[in-house]
Amino acid sequence: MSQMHDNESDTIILDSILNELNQDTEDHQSDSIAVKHTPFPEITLAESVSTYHIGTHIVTSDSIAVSKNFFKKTATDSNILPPVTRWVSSDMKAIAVERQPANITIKYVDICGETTEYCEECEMHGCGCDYFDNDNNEFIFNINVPWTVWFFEFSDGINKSFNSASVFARNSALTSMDDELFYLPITNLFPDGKVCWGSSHPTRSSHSTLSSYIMHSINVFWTDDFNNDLTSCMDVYGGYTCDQMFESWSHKTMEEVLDTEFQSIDNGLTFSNVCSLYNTKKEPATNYHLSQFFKDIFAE
Amino acid sequence: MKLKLTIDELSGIVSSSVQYMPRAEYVQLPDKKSSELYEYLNPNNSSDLGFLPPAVRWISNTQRMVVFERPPGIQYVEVALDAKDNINKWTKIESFNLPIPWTLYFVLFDENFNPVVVSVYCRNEPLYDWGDKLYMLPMLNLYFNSRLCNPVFEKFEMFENNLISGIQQAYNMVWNSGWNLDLKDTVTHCMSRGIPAGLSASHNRDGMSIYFKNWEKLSILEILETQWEVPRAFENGSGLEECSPEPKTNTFRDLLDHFTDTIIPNNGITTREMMVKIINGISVI
Repeated sequence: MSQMHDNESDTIILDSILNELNQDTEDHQSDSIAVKHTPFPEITLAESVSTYHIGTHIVTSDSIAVSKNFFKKTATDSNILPPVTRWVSSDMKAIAVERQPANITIKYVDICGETTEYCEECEMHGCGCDYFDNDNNEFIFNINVPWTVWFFEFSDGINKSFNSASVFARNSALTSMDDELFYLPITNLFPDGKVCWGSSHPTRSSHSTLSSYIMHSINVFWTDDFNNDLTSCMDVYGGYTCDQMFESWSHKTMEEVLDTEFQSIDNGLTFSNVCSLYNTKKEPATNYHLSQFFKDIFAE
Repeated sequence: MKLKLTIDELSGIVSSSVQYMPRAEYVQLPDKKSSELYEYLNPNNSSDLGFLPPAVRWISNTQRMVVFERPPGIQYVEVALDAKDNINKWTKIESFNLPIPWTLYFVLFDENFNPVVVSVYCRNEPLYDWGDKLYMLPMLNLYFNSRLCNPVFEKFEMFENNLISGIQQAYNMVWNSGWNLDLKDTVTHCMSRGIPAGLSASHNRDGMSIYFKNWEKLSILEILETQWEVPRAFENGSGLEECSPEPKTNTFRDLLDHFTDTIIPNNGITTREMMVKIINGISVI
């Protein structure tokens, strides 16, 4: 987008910058060791051509492009939201999506995710590692999954890969911010509902939209093997090993699943409570931010 | 006008001068903290839009433009078979239950989330990608460029000033405000091409009635097999193509850019406005 044109007043300012640049270069040549040159950015905004000048680097740019970038840089759009997006954080760095009930086939491997051999941790979890010894540690279950609510957090912006995802269960579709969320009785979830992706954390390809990325990520969650790591969300339902729990679940009809009394989180965690965790305050700007802001505007 | 800014990153001070007229002297503005100017220019004042209806597919950076999507369904519409100015108690009102494909609504809201501009497009599948193509929906009250002719529409007290209510209002403006024969651009264009399902009729009052009666007989599956017409800004040969740009293509990305550019040229900010905003920032921080 860099260009020159024949506007007289713009030419004057460009000449002035080039003169300063030449002077700057001469200063360097005369005393290249003693003078430490500190290149502070100088920005000239004009009606038709604008310039960004730092040290020996000059970018000239069409001012309309600069103003468009100026506007774009001050906020980000949402990208294509996945179907049934129910909330977007004010800084557009977190979203919540809802998925309707579905019959899903999952693979459960009754081992700890960290090892392919029996480990003490597995014994501590009481997750049925005895199945491992007789080569019968893989199970395929067909389960009716209730309504689920997913949160995705994007610390680097909504156009990058997400940092973390959480999933919760519900008996019905969300109707308001005050609706309660429940533990989804499944393994590989931290106690706060965050997903442990292991080595399968979905990365965002440069061309994928937010919508396709989120849908792909949810598919990855269900199609990747479950194991007996992180069982606390399942443990709250009590008294069963993981494979017994999945086994029991697989015999329930969808109506029975949707009638289940799911376990509350922290005495009644609501959709709004989780959303508020993501509406974080913006960090204060440093001396560097303004320079970077203009540099980005001219670079795009 | 020219604005010159020098940012001293060590001291965190931005010094600036402005030339208000060509060849005039530069006027020095007071030095300010660069971090404060940055925060003025990048305020984190986007509000939490709250609970979203399940249909929202895109939200602009200003939160005032939104795209929402509706799945296929049977849509009930009432049509007054006359131009609006001629409608009286003897005007024939017909109702139809029309199978409608996936529809996408581009909406610009005012600061209270009242819809200001609404455009309607259709598709045979839900939206997945920026490159997905959008099509012209043959319905009354739409200009040729798929923009809705806003009905006189009273804002009911039940509507709150939030996005969820704004979307309900926009949807009501399109489907529940009553159709008449004032604006038939997209219908007559599609009729002449046998869209949908080879349906065609004359462009007069009786023709409209026949067209929608036959449409009513189609199933949703048949509707979703329709090869819809590409949306354009103007009808071929209207002579208006010269003075206003056509969308580059009928992809979601290009139609969204076209919608934005035609409603808010240059995304709402000009070079001068940018400079004024920075100068204002320097004076108030």
